[in-house]
Amino acid sequence: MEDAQSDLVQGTLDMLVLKTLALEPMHGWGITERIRQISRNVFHVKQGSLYPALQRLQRKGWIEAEWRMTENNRRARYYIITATGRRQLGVERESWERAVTAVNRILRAAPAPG
Amino acid sequence: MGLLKKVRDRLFALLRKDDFERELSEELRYHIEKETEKNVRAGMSPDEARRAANHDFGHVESMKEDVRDETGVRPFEELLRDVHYGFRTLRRSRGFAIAVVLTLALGIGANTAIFTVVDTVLLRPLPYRDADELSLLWGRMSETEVSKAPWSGADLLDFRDRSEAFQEFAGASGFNSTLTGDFDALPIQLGFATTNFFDVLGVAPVAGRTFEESDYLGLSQDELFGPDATPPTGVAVLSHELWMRQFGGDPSIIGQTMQVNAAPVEIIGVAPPGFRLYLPADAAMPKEIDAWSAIPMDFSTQSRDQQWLTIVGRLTPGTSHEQAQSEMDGIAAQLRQENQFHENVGMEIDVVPMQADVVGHAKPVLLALLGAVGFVLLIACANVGNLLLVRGQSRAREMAIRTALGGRRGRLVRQMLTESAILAALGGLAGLAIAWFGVDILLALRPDNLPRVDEIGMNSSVLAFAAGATLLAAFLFGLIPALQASRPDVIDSLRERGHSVGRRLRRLHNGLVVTEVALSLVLLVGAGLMLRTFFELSQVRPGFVAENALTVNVTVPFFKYQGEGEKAAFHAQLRDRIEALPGVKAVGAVTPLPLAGGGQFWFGPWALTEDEEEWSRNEADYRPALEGVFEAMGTRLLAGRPIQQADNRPDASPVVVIDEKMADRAWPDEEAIGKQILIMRPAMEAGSQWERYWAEVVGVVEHVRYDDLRSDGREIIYIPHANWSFADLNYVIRTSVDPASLGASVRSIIREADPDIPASTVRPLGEYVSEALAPTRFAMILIWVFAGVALFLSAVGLYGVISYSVRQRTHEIGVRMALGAERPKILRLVLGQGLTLTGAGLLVGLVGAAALARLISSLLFGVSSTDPVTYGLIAILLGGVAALACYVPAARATRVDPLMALRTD
Repeated sequence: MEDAQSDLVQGTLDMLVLKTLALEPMHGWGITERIRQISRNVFHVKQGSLYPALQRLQRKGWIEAEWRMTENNRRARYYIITATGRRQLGVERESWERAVTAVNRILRAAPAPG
Repeated sequence: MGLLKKVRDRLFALLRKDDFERELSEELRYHIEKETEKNVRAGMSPDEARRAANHDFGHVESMKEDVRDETGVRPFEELLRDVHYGFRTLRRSRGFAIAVVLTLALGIGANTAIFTVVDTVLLRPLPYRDADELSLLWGRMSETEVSKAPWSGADLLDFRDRSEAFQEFAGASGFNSTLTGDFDALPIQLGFATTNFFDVLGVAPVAGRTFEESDYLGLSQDELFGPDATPPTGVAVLSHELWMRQFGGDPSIIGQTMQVNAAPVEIIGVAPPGFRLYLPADAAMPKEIDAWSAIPMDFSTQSRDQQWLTIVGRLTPGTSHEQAQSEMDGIAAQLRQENQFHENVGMEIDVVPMQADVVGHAKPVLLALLGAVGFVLLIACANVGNLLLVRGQSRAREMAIRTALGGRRGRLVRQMLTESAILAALGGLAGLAIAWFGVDILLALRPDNLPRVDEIGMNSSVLAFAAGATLLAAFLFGLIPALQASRPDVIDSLRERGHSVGRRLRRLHNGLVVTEVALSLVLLVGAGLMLRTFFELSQVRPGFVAENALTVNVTVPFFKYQGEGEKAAFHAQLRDRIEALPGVKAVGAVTPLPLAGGGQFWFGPWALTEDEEEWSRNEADYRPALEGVFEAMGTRLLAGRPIQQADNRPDASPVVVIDEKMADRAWPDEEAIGKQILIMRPAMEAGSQWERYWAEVVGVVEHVRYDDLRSDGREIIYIPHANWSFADLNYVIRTSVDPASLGASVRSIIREADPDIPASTVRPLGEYVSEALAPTRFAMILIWVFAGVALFLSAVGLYGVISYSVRQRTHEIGVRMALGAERPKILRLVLGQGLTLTGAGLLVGLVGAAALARLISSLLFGVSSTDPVTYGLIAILLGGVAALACYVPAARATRVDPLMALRTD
């Protein structure tokens, strides 16, 4: 199940988690699953990175945690994005897109004549 | 997120640590279950599914650790753990911890105690409104070397008219007086003050009112002192202390009329508790005033040489004391031009900030003591540093192992620093406790002339000082283990097996010991110089014999016995009755008493011709006296005869007895007996104030030190009391029994003679001498205590370092002995090491002492600040103690069993 391409930089992981939670509140396992599904099995978030990241995002005040009952009537810790979290997501997405555009330009650059 | 919320969340997280762990476990368990379910759905068997999920999840514990790291509460947790661990390690090495805490407590406690005194006496503003605007103004007579002189009423008025730098001046004076009413005659100090006195100081009464301008009666000399005078009712403000003591704080006392010196006075108010006119110790005016009265007489017409008013000025806002001084210099020059008296004595005006003036004389002693305790704290820190070094060395292996096992270096350093901080905090707390008692001990030892002692107490600035001293101590000795722990020599430490000390470390050890010895030497030299001073002062013959003599002040009410010869008759019969008491060998009387303070202001002019110039240039101490005074004082008669009873009769021809100094000055090459001298006395007839008269010198006595033991003082003229009879008299009674045992009978004789005379100041003459010695004794005792502590600490430090070095070198010593080294040689080897350190410390200390002792030269008497004998003796003392401290471990080294020493390898 390990994916070679899944070396997620920390900042990127934070952004993906925020984006996932922006769709709906979710518990830890749900977040991994959702990221895997949406990325069509490209990104597999390791638990060893996920839970510290969730703790970090809470500390920064971007998400909040809350114990809820699942549809199968079991207790699970759900994470909810906060207003600051949404703003942060916007910021990160913007800088991500700038970075992607820049990288793409470099990769498509034609060799200089001469 | 706000900082506060952050801190709160983390503290909260810290408190909810158990919840946090439980929830984290549950969350992770839930994750694994979901993963397992998913695997089962994908077709695995339940067991297989769980294994896969677990494997996929990875190392749960290390992941939890990562999550914990992200919570942001780790630093707090680690601090708590460090503190906890620190306490545990310190409990394990209890001896070490106690030694450190006690050493620090001594250092911090002594410093805090001294600072408590310094804070109150030197630093806290005087309790007046805007006290920094207040100056005292003193006369300095450049022709006669008299300074701190009070002023005449005319001077006060001139200051008021001419000065712009000061917005207002108030004048005050004080006298022994008697308060009578429907109670026993009460001796009081009566203050006379200008009506603006309380306003200039900015002090409001606690009951009634203070003076108003209309309280100034402006009576003439005749209206007040004339033969038929019936003075009108004056006003008085009681001190809070007298009000409580005598009248139990009864407010109805206000408005009542009492008698002060047999003149009527209405009580108009009560001053606040502790109120006084703060004065320097050498001021003539009494320091404790029981009641303040508005000056009743017209002081504008008094002559300039009647100097009796202490003047306090309040600066115009925005004016500095320096500006005021230069303005007053100009005014002094004008006054010299306008007044013969000012011109003759070369009168200058000294403007002194009140606070600086009041504490001036206490400052050198207190600063010297503050310096001394500062040294003690430094020595304590050096000692603790040494203890920590030794301990750190014996823990080097523990540290090395922890480092090898992956302990982060920063973490280990922090651990060491935490231990130091715990020790410093405990030391600081114990120090505060020591200071608490120390202040009481200081107050019990204090000399009477230390100002403001009744206000001394612990307060927030003292606590801040103690905290500061603790932090400084923690920083100073916390550095050492930190330096040590940051040495990158894990392998060395493991390999060394505690055999030889690293060179750097040994240098640090040695440096600390040398510093301790040097600092102790400086302190001990200071103590030695103070001891010499005290000894020299006690050897001074003050011109009288202090033992077996009782003194009693007899203040006759001012307005009683006004008639011709009445006072003389009264004293003659009182003297006779006291002389008749069993156990009395001689009785006399004089004013003032030697070493009782204020003596320098009982002086007057003298001349051998009628020349006006000569008259105004010569000053001598005038001492009104009753017959028998020299015998009673034990002052030796050198030539001629003493004052006799016949000299005190009103019709007697005027005579004086002079002291040897006066005889040398007036008749350097001739016999003084039988010569005539021109002096003055209060006028016998109404209308004029003073009259000059010729008196015959009938005797010469030895000189008496009136002002203090340290300085010789002025020439003295003893005048029969009949010629200076307005003064109160101090009876001196020489006894063949314990002088204190006569106190009660003397009191009752005086009460019988006149119930209006209070006789409460009954004191052995010796008390005045020991009071004169008290400031020196105070400084000496304290410096010795501090020097003793320093000596002890450095001996312990030296002992510690040498013993440690012997322990470290056991193997080497064993080898040497196995190879045939004799015991004396080993002894020399070890002793040599200690004595080299001591010698270095002594050298540094001698240089430092020579440089620093100059700072206390104003405290010394009869010994130079670089006295080679003191330095030599102190160096020998310290060297001896150091040798002893080294000898013990050296002797232990010679008992090393070579076989054992080699086997422990």
